[in-house]
Amino acid sequence: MGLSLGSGGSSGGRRNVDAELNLIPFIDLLSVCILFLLMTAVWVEIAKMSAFSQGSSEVLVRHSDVSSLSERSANRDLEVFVRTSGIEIKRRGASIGTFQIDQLRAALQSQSSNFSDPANAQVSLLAADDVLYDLVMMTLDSLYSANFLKVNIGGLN
Amino acid sequence: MAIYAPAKRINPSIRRRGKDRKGVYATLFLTSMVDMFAILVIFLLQSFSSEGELIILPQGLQLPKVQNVGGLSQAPSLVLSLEELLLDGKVIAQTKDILASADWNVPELQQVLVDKKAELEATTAAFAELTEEAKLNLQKINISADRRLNFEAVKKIIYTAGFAGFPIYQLAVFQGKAPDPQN
Repeated sequence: MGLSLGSGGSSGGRRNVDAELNLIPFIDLLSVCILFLLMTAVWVEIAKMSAFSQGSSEVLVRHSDVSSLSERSANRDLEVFVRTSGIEIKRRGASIGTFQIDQLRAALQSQSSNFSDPANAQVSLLAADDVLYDLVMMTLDSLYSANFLKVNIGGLN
Repeated sequence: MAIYAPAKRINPSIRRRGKDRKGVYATLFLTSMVDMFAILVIFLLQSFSSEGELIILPQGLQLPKVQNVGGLSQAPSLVLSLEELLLDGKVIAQTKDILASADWNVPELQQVLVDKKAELEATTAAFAELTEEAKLNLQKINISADRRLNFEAVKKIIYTAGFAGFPIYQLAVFQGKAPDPQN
């Protein structure tokens, strides 16, 4: 038996509250726990950044009854163009400036303060073909830092 | 130092222990062992994830590192490495072929994704009502692309996925400070 409780109710009328633990099943249990947890452990923690699809003028989602998404470029509040020469920000068609990646965060933060609700602003992120994917993700990260969360991602023609 | 003739032992001045030779069995300190086991169990329980491994990355794939991240959720998994494109572990196309194509669409991927979408919708509809949230979840796709790739390859993948009915991209990343993009 794994656990033996005292006989109880003996002299003095007080039950013995000390329990005797059988170490062998206890160690077995711990070993099984360790093996299970080691086998199911996820050592590489992968996270995500969300972005949405966009076409040059309209998103067209086919082959699905449940997918329908239509956003026109005219509705976008902020456009970010990623090129090897720099990252250009446009607000409602007017250029704000071109920045390098280390300046981008501050530039986007200042733009964010112009929006009453930046989290719901329609933002478009367009990148040139020769730009590294890493740079695109760093730009997306900067947009998230400035609280722009609805980002459509696409390519520059 | 005196030089001794070679003997069975290098230095015969060291006393043989004789009868008090140490046994080959070590004493096990149960208290310490149980403590160690308990610490291991607590550590492993803390790092336990009930979701399991949602994406299995191929050898050599480097994900981008960013600071603002969210948790991944279950969705079809596209992996674009420097060599090949995989959907749920199956090779769909070679990355060099994707880059060589002038078309934005990747036809091999499109057909597979359309089939996948139909299968997911049928499975979901069979077990539950297609609520708005369920419909939204059916539009998600996990994309893990190597950070050293040009955006051209990723662009083709995301466009194909978007047109095949997966317009919500969950771009897989590692949390951390991003290295210099030129490296």
